[in-house]
Amino acid sequence: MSYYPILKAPYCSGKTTLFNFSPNNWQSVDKCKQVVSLTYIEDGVWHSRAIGELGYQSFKIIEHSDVVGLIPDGGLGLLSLSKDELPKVSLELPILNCSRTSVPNYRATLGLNSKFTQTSYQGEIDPFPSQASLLTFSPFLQFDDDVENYVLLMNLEKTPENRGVEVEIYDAHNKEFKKAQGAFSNQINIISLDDMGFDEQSLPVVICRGMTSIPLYFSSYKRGELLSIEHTHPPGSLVVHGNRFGVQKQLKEYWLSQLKR
Amino acid sequence: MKIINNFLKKTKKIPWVLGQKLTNKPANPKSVISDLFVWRYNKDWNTYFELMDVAALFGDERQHYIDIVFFDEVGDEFYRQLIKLNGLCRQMLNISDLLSTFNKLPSDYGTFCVFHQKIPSGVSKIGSFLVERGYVSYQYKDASLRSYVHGNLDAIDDTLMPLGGSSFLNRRYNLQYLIEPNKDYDIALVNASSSNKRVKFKIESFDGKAQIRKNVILKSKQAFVFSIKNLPSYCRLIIKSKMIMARPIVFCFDNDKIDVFHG
Repeated sequence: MSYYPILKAPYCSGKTTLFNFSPNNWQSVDKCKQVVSLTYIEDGVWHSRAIGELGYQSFKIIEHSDVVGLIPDGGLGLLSLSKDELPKVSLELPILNCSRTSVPNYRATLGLNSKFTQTSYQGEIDPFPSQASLLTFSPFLQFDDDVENYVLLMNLEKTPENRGVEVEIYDAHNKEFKKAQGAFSNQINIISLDDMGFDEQSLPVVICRGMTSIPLYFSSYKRGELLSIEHTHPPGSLVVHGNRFGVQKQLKEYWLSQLKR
Repeated sequence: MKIINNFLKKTKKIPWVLGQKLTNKPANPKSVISDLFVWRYNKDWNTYFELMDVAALFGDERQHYIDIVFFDEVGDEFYRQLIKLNGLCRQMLNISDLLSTFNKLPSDYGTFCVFHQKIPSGVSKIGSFLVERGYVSYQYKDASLRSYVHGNLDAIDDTLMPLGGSSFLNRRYNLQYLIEPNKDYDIALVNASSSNKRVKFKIESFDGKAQIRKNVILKSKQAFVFSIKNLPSYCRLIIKSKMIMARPIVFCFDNDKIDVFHG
C-alpha cells in the first residue's frame, strides 16, 4: 500500500482521511486492524511513529494540526496503514506490510481546508526513482482579480534527504522561458503561476530535469473562499495499450530538448 | 504451505479476471479513444473542457481538428461538431455555450467524447491508441472559480463502440471517501460498456446499516446522477454492478460551494 501525504497550500490546512476497507470485493486483502503511522525526515533519516490504530471497515481523519508538533517545521508528513509498526528510524523509506489492490488502488482523500471551504482528490503516493524527470502541461489556470494559481509539486523518494533541484516554466506556444524556481525532493513545493504574464491563451509547461513529482494544480479565490485542485496525468496517459512508456519517453525527450533558457 | 496458499489465491481470482479486461482494444488499429465526460448544463451548471492539440505536443505543428460528440442522459447521440484546434495555445471549450444553441435540450446532463483526428506518427507504430481523458471544469451557480476534474476511462472509440469491460460476476466498487451528514452530494456514473448494466447504489453508515439504496439499469453510454441529501451520520458509497470498475465522479456541495473529483 502507498503513503498518504498531508497536503499544504496557501490559505489552507491539509486534512487526510484514511480508510481501512478494500476498494473492491474481488482482490484479496487482509481484513484486520492496521497501524496508522506518521513518517517524516529529520536529521537525515526517516522517522516513523505510530499515531493510532484503524479498525477494519473504519475511517480516520488526520489534520495538519494533529501532527504539526510531531514533524520538523515545513516537513512533509506522510501517513500510512500497515499490519506492523514501522521501524522508528530507517535510512530508506519503509516498505509497508499491507494488502494491495490495483483496480483501483487503495486511496485516501487528500484534502485542503480553508476557513471557508474545502477541496480534495482521491490519491496516494509511492516513491519515485530519483533519476526521473517531470513534464506537465497545465490548462488549469483561472483568471480573475481575486484568483491565485499555483502548482504544487509533490515528490517522494526512498532516500531521506531534501535534494535541491530546479523547476523551469515555459509557455508551450513560443517555448519562451518564464521562470525557474528551486524545489526539493520529499516535499510539496508550492510555485506561483501568476507572476509570469500567462493569459487565457497560454498553455504553461512545467519541467524539472532532475526530479519527478505529482503536479497538483491549485486555485484559490479571495484567499480561500473558493478552491479547486486537480492533478495532470503523466504524459504516457495520452495513449493506452502498447508501449506507453515509450510514448512518455518520446514526449519527454522532445520537450526537454526543445525547452531552453 | 506458502505455495499452496498462493495457488489457492490465484485459483479464487480466475472467475474475476479470465477474459475480463478493464478496457477492450478497438477493432481498428487506427482508432482513437475518448473518455465519456459528463456534461451538466442548466440554470445552476456550466461545463467547460480543456482542448489540447495532442499531435502538436508530439511536435507536429500543422492544423489539427477534433470531433466532439454529445450524448443525452440515456446515451443517445444528439449533436456533433468539428472543432479547429489552436496548436500549443490553451483552448477552453465552453460546453454550455455549445449546448445553448439548442432550443430544447433532451436533458440537463449527459456525456460527451472528444476524438482527435490526427494520430501522432509514433503512436500507432508501437501498438498504442491515442486517448483523450483530459480536463473538465464545472461552474456551479456562476461561482468565480470552476472546479476541475480529470477524465479517467478509456471509454469509447471513434466508431462510438464502448470499450469498457464487463464482468461475469457482480463487483463492488467501495468508494474510499467519507460522505458527511451536513453536506449534499451528486454521484455521477457512466456505463462505458457495450451492454445494459444493472447498478445498485448503497449508502451505508459505518455500523453497516444501509441508509439509502437506489437500483437503476444503465444503457450503454448512459450517465446517471444520483443525489444524496440529509444523511444522519458519516457514510460510505458502495456501487455494485457488472462493470469492471464503476468509478464515479463525486460532486460535493457545501451550500453553494462545490468540490468535484474522481472516485
